Amino acid sequence: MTDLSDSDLLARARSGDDEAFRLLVIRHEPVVAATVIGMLGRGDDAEDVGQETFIRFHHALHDFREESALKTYLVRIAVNLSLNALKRRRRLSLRFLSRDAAAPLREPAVLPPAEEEAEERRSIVRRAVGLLSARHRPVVVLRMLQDLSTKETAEALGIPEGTVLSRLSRAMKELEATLAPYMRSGAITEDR
Amino acid sequence: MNDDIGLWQLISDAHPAGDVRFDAGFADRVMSRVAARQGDDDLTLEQAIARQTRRLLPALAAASLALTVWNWWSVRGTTESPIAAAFGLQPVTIAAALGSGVLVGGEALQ
Repeated sequence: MTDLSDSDLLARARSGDDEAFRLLVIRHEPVVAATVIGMLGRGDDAEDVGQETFIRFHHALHDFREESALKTYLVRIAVNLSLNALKRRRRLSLRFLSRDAAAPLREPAVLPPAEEEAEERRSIVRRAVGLLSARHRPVVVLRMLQDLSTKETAEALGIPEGTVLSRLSRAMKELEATLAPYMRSGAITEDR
Repeated sequence: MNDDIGLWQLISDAHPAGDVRFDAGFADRVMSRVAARQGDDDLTLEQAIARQTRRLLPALAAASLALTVWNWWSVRGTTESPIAAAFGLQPVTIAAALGSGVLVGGEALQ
């Protein structure tokens, strides 16, 4: 059954074939995982949002019209659920943690040994992405990390292509400003 | 422009590339949640009410018990019947019944 197209698997899943739905989950797990982990980072809530994405999809199997690609449809659910999770997280952090999570970005870290340097650099960049606003983060995750086209990103987010471009431009400026101290200190470099 | 390309590359490189997946067994976990939810959807109204009632039963029982103990405790040392106190029953006398005006014809008797 693994060689069946999405449409065939969808038709089977709609008629109650759980194995067909399971194959759709396995097939589209990477795109949902990349979206959710890009938005939230790895963790329990990322897994939970991933599961909830497919549960919502299962619930809407009969409503899903194949005008848009299944990938785009799933990404849209994943982004919306991730944004909700971010809101919950922000409420919790405001209640318990204040802004400690952002603290490491204020002072550039001391350069670690070469082996750890790459990981440290990635960690800094991931945190910078994590500091983006809820409006800019999905655009960066879909367009820059998942390499979706502007059109696909616009479809997944339900916004015009022009809005994708303007949000991306603002997000880039935001990232540049956040990462500038690290680039200056040499903690991260562009020319690798 | 070159700065943008460099930044783009930097951001792309910082995130896992290729086949990103959740922990092993993700599809199985999704399927068991789907099955659980399907079970909920298949319930009849009576079954759904019975299930909700069963869930609430311990809390209702605990609340009733707490209220009973409170009532009983609040009249200790008085002449009031412990049973009446436990259930919060008001002592009924002919005078009280007639005075309440609740009884049909109570006014006539007064």
